[in-house]
Amino acid sequence: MNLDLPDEVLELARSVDRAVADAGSVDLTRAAELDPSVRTSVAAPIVAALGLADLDVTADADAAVAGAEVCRVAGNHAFPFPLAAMLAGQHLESGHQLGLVGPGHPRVDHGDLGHWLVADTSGSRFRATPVAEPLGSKLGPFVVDVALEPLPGPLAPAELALALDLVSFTILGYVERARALAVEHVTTRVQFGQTLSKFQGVRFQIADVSVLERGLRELARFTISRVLSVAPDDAMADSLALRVAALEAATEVFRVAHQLHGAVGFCDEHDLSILSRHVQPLVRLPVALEATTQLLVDSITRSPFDSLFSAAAGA
Amino acid sequence: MDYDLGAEAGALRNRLRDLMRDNLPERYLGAFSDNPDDLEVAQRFCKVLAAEHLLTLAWPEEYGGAGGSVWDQTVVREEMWAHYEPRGAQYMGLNWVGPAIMRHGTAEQKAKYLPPIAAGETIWCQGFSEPDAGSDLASLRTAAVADGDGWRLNGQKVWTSYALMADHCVVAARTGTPESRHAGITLFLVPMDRPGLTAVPIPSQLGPHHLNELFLDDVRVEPGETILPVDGGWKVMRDALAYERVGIARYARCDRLLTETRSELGADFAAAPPALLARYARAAVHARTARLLSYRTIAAQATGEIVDSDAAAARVAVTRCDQEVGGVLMEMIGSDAFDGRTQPDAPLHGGIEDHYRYSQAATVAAGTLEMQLTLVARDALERA
Repeated sequence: MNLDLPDEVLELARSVDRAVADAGSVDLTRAAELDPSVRTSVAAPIVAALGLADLDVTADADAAVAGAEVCRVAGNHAFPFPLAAMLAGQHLESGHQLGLVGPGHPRVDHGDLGHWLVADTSGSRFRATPVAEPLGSKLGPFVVDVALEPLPGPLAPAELALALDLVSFTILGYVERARALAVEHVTTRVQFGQTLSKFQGVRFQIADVSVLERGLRELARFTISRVLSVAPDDAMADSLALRVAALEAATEVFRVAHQLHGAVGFCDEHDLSILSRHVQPLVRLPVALEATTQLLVDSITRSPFDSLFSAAAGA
Repeated sequence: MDYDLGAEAGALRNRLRDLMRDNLPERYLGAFSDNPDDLEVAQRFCKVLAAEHLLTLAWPEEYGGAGGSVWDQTVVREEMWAHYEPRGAQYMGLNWVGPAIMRHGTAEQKAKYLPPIAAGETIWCQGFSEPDAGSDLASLRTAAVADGDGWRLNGQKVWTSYALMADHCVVAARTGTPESRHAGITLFLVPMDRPGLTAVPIPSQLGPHHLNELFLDDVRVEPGETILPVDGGWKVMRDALAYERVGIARYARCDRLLTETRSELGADFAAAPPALLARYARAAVHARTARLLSYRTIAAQATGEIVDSDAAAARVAVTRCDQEVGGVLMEMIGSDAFDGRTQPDAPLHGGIEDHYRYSQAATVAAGTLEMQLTLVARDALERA
């Protein structure tokens, strides 16, 4: 039992954090909203300079953990680049990103950047090409309508699971930052002669989101550490479970963070507004909370969810 | 990173399951019932564990233990709680009273109290809470007054689990001034048959033995029955409560019940309302998360002190999960939800009904949910 991240992973995460922070952190995302080419002129070179194009997340468990931590850090800054898709796809086909699409209208976040393979939640594979410019909407500024061309053979379950996990780690990064912003706000904002953090109702909300964040972090690390080694069905069930936890946490943490910030949290000059808008494609594509839960139910109906007692039940 | 408890832990888990299968009645639901046979089963099983050197697996070898790691101890806690704690009330002596005596007791106290705990021959209870000192334990008022070379105790304790089964009680009493709060509390090791000490059961939905009152009427405490130093009891109590936050592996019973309910319902499981199946799936996710949060705390414990906020966060997740699982599974079994351990054909022999009732107290016992949230909030806000 060793719950600590490897030192080299920690160092890589610190490097990514420094590079993205130096480029402006959430201000880089603001700039990309005004000029979407910032994603290729500023964000992509950062990714290249960090050597992330050479990171094969399927090489071994530590590489998967490293890729996941990179995604988490990207989420901390709402980094305007499809990093999770790049890490999930580049080992499948050189220079390709792997997107995930749900039933209905196929859409991919940053789908106008580079080359895309996509898979649906059953593993069917497609090549995707953009059919329009990014939506430019409040909640999906870089979401792109795509056309799908079927490809033969399914995506391996572990690859699908890994792609889901990298998105979940990105969501974890958003959750961490939103919780940190909430803490920062309530410890500095004075109302009725005292900081908001003195009010017990506020303290309990901070505690609740802290527990959600801690739990998501532990589940995420557990899931990524074994995604390449467990049976394919278990890997998918793990990843669906992680996505359920990530979406539950994102929903609640952003709700609480906005509630505690009051009106200022909705202003785009505040990082919280940028984070809560840009996390939306991550929580809605390929499918949102209820549909993800249904996929997990389908999995559990087929075979028990892996637990301390599932092996005994199956014996 | 590695979440594998290792081959030895796996072998230990199997060994414990074999021992339970061979020594417990089918679907045993623990010692806390109206049937005295259930207590006898637990007492016998403790001796079996003691003979196998499993009762004190995690104790240091010098005190009769096997020097097992915290992860070995975790396996024991998981398996015992998942199987309705067949050690009965003895887990309290093993988990914290014994270790507290090891750390704080005199040589005489260690020699007197530790061997019977290690042999599975004695039950301890914990006299902390009082009618006016629940979450605010530091306001307790049971008074200890010096009486020659010993002490005299007067006051009342409440919610004292297992008081009617116990041979000894760790009584927390006020030795300082009424205003001394944390700084004026001392712990006493009092035999339950000491004159003036009366235990009275409180009928409750939790079932027998979980809740009792304890009246102390001029109870004499002999020399050698005090945990020293005088007025230094708070630290020991705090350690005990921190331990209790992770000492009960509630998530393990949740895992077992979720898995076995699915099996027991067979084809009816998939036919449950979609919304209920969704709740089941999320409860399974939350049980896994609660286990991992507990492991984080245990990993910290392995390298040093338990971090209060880590333990509190784990307990928040674990106790909420406990209630969530109880609620989901009761709904899954429909009108059979009323069937407890004495009804024939009760789902999982009454295990779901028992879990549901007991889980209602999960967010109250061993420090309320609000106390845990307070600890988590303090950490989150003070680290900012």
